[in-house]
Amino acid sequence: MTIFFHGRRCAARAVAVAKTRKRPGTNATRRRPSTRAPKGKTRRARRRRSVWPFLLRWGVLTALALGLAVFLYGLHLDRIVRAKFEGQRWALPARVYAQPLELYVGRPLTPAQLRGELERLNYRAAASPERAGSYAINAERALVRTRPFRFWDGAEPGRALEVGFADGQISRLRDASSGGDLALVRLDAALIASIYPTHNEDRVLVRRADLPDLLVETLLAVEDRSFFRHIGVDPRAIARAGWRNLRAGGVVEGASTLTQQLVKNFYLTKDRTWERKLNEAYMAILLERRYSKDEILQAYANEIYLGQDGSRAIHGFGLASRFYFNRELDELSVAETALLVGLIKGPSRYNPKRFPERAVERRNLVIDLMVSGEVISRQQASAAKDAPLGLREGGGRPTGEYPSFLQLVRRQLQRDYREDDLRSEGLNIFTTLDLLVQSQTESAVSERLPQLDSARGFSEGTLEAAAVVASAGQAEVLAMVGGRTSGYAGFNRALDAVRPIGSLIKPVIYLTALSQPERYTLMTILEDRPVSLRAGDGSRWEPKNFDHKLHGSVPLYRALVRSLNLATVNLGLDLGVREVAQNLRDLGVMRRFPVVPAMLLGSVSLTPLEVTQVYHTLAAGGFRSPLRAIREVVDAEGRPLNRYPLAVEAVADPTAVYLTTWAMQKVVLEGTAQSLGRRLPDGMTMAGKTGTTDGLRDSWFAGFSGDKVAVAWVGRDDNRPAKLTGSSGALKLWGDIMIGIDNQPLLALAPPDVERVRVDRTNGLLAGPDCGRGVTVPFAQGSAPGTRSGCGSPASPAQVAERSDGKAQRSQRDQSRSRDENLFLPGY
Amino acid sequence: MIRNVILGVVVLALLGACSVPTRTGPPAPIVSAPAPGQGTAPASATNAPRDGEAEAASVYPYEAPSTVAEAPAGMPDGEPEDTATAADTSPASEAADSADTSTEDETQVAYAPDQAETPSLSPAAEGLMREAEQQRQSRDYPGAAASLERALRISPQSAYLWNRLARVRLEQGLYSQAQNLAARSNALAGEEASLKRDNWSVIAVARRRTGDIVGATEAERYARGG
Repeated sequence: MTIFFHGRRCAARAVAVAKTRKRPGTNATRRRPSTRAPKGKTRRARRRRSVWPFLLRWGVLTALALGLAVFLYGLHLDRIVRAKFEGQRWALPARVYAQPLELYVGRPLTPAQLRGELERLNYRAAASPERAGSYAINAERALVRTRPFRFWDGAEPGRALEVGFADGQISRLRDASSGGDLALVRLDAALIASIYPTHNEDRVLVRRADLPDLLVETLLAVEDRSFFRHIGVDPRAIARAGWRNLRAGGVVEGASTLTQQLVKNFYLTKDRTWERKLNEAYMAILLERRYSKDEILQAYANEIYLGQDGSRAIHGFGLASRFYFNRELDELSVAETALLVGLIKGPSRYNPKRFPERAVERRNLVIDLMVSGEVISRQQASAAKDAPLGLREGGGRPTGEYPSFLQLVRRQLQRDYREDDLRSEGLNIFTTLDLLVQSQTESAVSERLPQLDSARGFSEGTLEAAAVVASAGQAEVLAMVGGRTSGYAGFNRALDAVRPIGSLIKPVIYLTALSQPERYTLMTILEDRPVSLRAGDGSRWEPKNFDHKLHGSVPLYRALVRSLNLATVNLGLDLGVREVAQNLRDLGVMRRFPVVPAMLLGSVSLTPLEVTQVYHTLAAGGFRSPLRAIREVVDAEGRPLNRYPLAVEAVADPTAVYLTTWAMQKVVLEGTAQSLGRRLPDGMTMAGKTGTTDGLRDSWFAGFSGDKVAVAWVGRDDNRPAKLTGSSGALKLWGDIMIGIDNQPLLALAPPDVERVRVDRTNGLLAGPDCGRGVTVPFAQGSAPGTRSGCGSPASPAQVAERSDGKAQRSQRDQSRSRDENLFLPGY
Repeated sequence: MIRNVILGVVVLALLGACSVPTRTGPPAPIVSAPAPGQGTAPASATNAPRDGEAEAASVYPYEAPSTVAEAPAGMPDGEPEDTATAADTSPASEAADSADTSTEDETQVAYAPDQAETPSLSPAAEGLMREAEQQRQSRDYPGAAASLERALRISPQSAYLWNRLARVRLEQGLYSQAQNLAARSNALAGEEASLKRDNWSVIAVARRRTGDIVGATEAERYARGG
């Protein structure tokens, strides 16, 4: 677009120039002498005399035109240079904070968890905490001196807190100095990273003053001797290099100045055409005119590409010195500095980790250049040459410890904010990351995966996993794990691994059905009979159940609970594949997927985060909210840049969602996720769905409690069979995560137009209270069966009253959530 | 002839100047061969974030009301543009939103009298709720919304808090959000009749302001208790 626009402007200029060229009325006068017929000597004299003015005039005009062209081109380039350079400037990074820990009476929290949080905040343990940032903790009580912290919505003052614990909760919260009770206290938010929001990579920013003299002199000696003298391009260097290259018969010396190298870095592709070189030269000159040598040197030192760490590029000397030597830049020795400077010419070619001999050779060459450039003495040089490479691991790790979550933060920042805003210095980004939940998720993944590996006979490290945990009410992403090695900034499977979801789609189909209560209820009998559809290419699609059996007539909810493929496909075909697809999109899927019958068994491919979005809508009762990772962004003065407020949209009928949730809770109690149901503590209820794909390649579990929704995926990166079903793989991981964090049980209150009816399990008709085959099933009002099945004694008047007059009954107990009414608990 | 040639050269030079391909984004990450065991996925992953389109944006586009307090006109109500929603608002309502900005403040309170009774919440949530109420009275709507969201984190299933948030959005002029939040409150309200009536009155006002008169009338009937 920009090019087109520039093109039009330049074309306009071209036309304008052409017009100005035409304006001097020389054309007519020029032609006229040739048509007239001057006589004899005068003609020759006139012609001889007229050549020079002719040439002069045309020469001047041509020069002017070319000069104008070059000048205008220069303006254009200048604008590009400025935009790029400003864009590359590394200012103060933005600070990224996790969710603050909120303390209030009744909040589930153990002393160990509080200690973990305080440690993450770098609080010091002290016998009697006096200074801000210290604490003392034992099994029953904690004394904390909190630091003051400025949140976007107000400052939280530093306090002396006394926290009392009992039964895994906070039982008391007092201000130790005044003695008064406190309702709500926020600890300061933990700083999890410093990032540059407009960039996908990070730097360790070094200012010009921080650059060691040794480094600068070495750099000049090796790359650009007359940096401080030239104007951007160095004609003498070009001449010298040209001469040397000619003599050597090939390219042995480059002539690019540091400025030119910096400009070269602005371009995306690496073609070395003449056109490109000329452009770079011009831009280098312009850059020099605009910015000082120090600024250019600083930009160069932060921008130069010096290596690769997996999929992450290492730019800048600050990061490179940490990455290769785990040292700060001003701690580097002569040999180490020489190595870094030597890498500029070819970071892959001279990669010291992969080609140590080449690296040493190059380093020694650089040391020689340092000697000839009078940077170091000969003795220093020979000592340096004897030194080993000196590589040290562990440095230059990617931003902070939560790279998966930070990737999501970055993407949301770049998607939703203007780049100019993000470039302001000193932004504070408050995110939704819950460090307690994140640490539990990470430890669950790192402990469970080796067990799964060995259970399936894989070598350690074969299986990979991803997990996302979000809050069900607020659509906030609480934790994200992108792979089994937490802290590694590689491929983020939670964000980017697009995998077929398999049976995870079934709740959507059943929701679609239950949204039509006049046609389908939880007890509607479905036929689990074979399906054979002709596909577009003439082949037949004949799905099978997981156990390859036919189950005949099953109630609708049992088909979901046992994840029967055939019954589900028949139901989906009855509903219409398009209906189901539309419902899936309503629930929050943005990715395109083919709307074909195979979709009913989950040929749709989504990322774990997208699955979380869908299941979040279910967990929120049919209200869709976009998942967010950022709560607020505040600039250095405390002004909010933008806010991510909670936004909610009703996309599904709450009653239908309630019924589907009930069925999904049965999945956990008596269906494919029974093993999870057995692990749940008393009174806790969760709903979910297992997912398995063809050939056991992907193992999924997606589910939610009353206040949290989570999705776990286990599989192999190379897409080979993982030999895991949803319940044997991802379910276990999911259980580890969810049981280890705090949850509220599923909401016991049903929507007002849901009635509980006792029906016969086998035929879906009314059953008496003493019927052995009876089960209490919720129905949307008016959809309950009318006929009795004959099982058990006929309904007593009290029972009839309960059915039709549920309202009166419910109003008596509407606020209480005792076990008796919780349809989600076992026994119903 | 020569003149034309020179003219052509100049024009070409200027046009050529404009065709330099320039990068308009940050330096591209260097993509190298994936580490063994990682498959081919990393190569595409590192290039994906730039688009923000369907391929990489796994969290769907979010439109945050950025200038919420000042100019509700034309500001999206937090809904993505390209989804055909099954919500109450019609496409016309968004246009009506933007047209209808000036007179929303003073009329809201008059039209939607506060009927909800204050329930008992945990002290923490209650403190926040009171703070939010103060902020709302002093027209600090973003602040009120923030306090309410903080309270909702503590008690996410409190229908009353959702109702309060719906009211704040109503006063901000974010009508479809107000409706949705009131509906969420209704779904959690159980049998709290006064709260549900209040929610319906919020919905009624929102519908009326967005031009859905039929829906507004129906909502008003529920608000009266019928």
